[in-house]
Amino acid sequence: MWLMAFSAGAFANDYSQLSRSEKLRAAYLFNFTKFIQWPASSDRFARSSITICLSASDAFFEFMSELVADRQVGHRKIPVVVTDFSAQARCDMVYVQHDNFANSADLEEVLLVAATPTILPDQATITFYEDQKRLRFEVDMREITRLELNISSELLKLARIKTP
Amino acid sequence: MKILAKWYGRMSFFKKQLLVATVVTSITLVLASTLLYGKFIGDHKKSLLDNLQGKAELIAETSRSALLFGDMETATTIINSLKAFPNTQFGLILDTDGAVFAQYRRDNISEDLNLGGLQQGSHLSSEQVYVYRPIDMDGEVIGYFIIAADTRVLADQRVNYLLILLAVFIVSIGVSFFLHWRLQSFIAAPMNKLVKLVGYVARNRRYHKRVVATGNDELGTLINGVNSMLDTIEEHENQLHSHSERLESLVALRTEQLFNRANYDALTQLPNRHLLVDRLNHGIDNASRENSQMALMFLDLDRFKVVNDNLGHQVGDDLLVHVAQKLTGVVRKADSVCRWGGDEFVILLEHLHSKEDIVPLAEQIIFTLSESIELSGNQLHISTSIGIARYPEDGRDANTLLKNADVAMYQAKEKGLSQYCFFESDMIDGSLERLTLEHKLRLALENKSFHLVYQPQICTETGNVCGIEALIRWQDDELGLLNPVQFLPVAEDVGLMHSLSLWVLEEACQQNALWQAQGSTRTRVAVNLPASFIMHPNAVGQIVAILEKTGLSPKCLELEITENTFISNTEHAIKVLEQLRQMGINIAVDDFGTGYSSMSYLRDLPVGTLKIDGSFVRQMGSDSINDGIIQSIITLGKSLGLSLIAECVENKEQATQLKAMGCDMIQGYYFSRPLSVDKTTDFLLEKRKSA
Repeated sequence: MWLMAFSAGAFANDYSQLSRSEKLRAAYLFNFTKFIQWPASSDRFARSSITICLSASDAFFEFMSELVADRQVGHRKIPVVVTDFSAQARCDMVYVQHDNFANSADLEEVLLVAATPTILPDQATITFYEDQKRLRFEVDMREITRLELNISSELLKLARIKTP
Repeated sequence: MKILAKWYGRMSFFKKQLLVATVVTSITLVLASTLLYGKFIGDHKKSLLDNLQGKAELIAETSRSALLFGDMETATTIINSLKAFPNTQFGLILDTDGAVFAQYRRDNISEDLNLGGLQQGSHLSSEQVYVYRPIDMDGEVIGYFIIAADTRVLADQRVNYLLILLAVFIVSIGVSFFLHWRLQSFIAAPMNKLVKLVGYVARNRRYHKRVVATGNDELGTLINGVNSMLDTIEEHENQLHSHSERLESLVALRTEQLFNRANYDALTQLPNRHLLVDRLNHGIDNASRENSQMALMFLDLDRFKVVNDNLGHQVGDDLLVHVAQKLTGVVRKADSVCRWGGDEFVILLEHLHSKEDIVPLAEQIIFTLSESIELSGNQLHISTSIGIARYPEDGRDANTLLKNADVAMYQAKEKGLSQYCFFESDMIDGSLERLTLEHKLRLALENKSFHLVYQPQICTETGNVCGIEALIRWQDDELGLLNPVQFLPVAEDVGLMHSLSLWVLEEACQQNALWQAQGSTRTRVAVNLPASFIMHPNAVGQIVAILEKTGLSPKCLELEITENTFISNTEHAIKVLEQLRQMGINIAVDDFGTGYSSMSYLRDLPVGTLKIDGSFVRQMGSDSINDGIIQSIITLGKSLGLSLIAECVENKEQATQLKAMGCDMIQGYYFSRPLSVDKTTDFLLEKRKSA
């Protein structure tokens, strides 16, 4: 698995300060873009890239940036861009790493991925969790529906579906 | 191989055809089956691969996310779906490093899968089929999937296909054989008929049967051709048959004709000599067995030769036919009348009791044949001499009986006309005498033992010699001096007359030429020639040759011929005599008044002299009718410008009377007997002196 490339020195920088779990989250985030389709009615349909906004550490940000560099997703080969989260940023996906995320109101119309179940539990579309030392994720289908996202069954079968 | 060839050779054409069709069908089916089998197996292999590829694709697609997200459990769950396919040996999801991410193994598959030998792609071998393909996501290989299955199904399928094809093959062969066998009969029917026809023709050699052609194909053409051939053969056969029948008829006819010719006389249709002898032998056997008597009558027609020579062969033949009919009418049905030859007949009388049974028949025959016969405007009177020999008294075999009957016949002839005579043993001598005479005659001719005597002919007016008649005489050492009456008929019978006549002619001419050379009075020598000599094709040539040879002038030769010379073949006789007269030879008619001649010929005949027969002269003075005849002859001759000569004048009274009647010449004992050469020479010289 290309995750192993993490430890094989596939990255230019040393991301030893990032835990394996964080690296996995980064990889998952990138992989999520492969299995999710954003609604066509929005101006995002004609997007030329998928933007992942991060509310995370710098190291995570760099790691993520390097991870997605020169990669494309989808049959249209859309590049994935990583950026810091800000209220003005146009985000397709927001990753929140810490609990103390301040601008939760800005996250209502965007796919929110919470690093842990404690982060934005009511708003997160996808929430990471660990189960027997294995990284899993939970998908809130209501949010998916509300956000008019199209999520592949391939992803869903790996996910835990959040029950109301 | 030889056995096979022999067996094949003994098969009928239709069985061969059936066999060939079956073999061809089999070969075709085998080829088709092979191709189909190959196709089936190929398709099945492809299907197997496609199926495996399909599974690989499905699992690869469905396990992408599990692979991406490292979800081994999900990946394993997905790959374990292969359990539903018993022939799947294993399935492996590998990561990009080739490590196994998730796997499925069938229970009997070992853990050591030995993946080193596997190559990407679809592969099929005899034991295993596998697909090794990458798992990609958005153009990026994220792992690999390997799925392998065993080919047991393929093997099973092969067997199934083979069984199916075998079944199809057998059924097809069976159906093909059956249909061919049944349908063949439609085609074979006319062919069989043709074969039967040919067989029939070959066995029976009869060509009347035909086969009807039912189509216009090659078989129809063959049948029509055979029919046409048979038409031709039948026609030829019929022609041959007709020809053969005609030939057979002809052969039968010819055989019958040959038989008839061999056994029957062509002229009279009586049994001939050959059949007579046969019947005679048969009669002798019967008589011997039955102890009965039989007799042989040998008949000879008197003076037949005269008729034949003078009236012609046609009249002679008609006479013989008439005689044959008469004889057949006289005898009993059981008796056989046969023509022996010439003018001789033989009658075979069987089942007799005594000699007296024969006499009435002999007399009846003589009487019947003595009746006048009219033929070709001629009234003919013939008679017969019959010699009779009896079995067993006069002979016990055919030759003896014939010989003795013949001898008896000659004896009857000597007795006179119309006589019959039973054979007596002393007759043999007479017969022998005749045979001796014949023999001596031949020898005399060869040795020129004859000599001529000459009787002068005197002119009544002048008393001079106006001619000399040459007469033949024969002095035999044993028989003595023979009269011409004795040997001339025999000479005639045995065919020596012509040679004798030539000798007399040459001798007389030679003698006359010698007399003239000696200075005797130039006079004619008269030579008697038979009618047969005149009728000879080279008569004129032979006479001319003799005159030339002897140097005698034709005017010094006179030929005396009888009246009867002119009766038959008058035209030819006239022609010959005219030629001779033209040369200067005088023609005298001898024995005038006694023949069968018609007076009208005298007008046209190239004759110069008539010789009154001696029989008239001898009776002169005693019979006025006789004298009247003589006078008539003289008058007739005179009126025709002919000279007249009377023969057999023996006294002065006859000479005087004849002179008075106007006869020109006289010949007879009154003046001179026939003289030898020397005496004739003297006579002529003396006459010349006194003349």
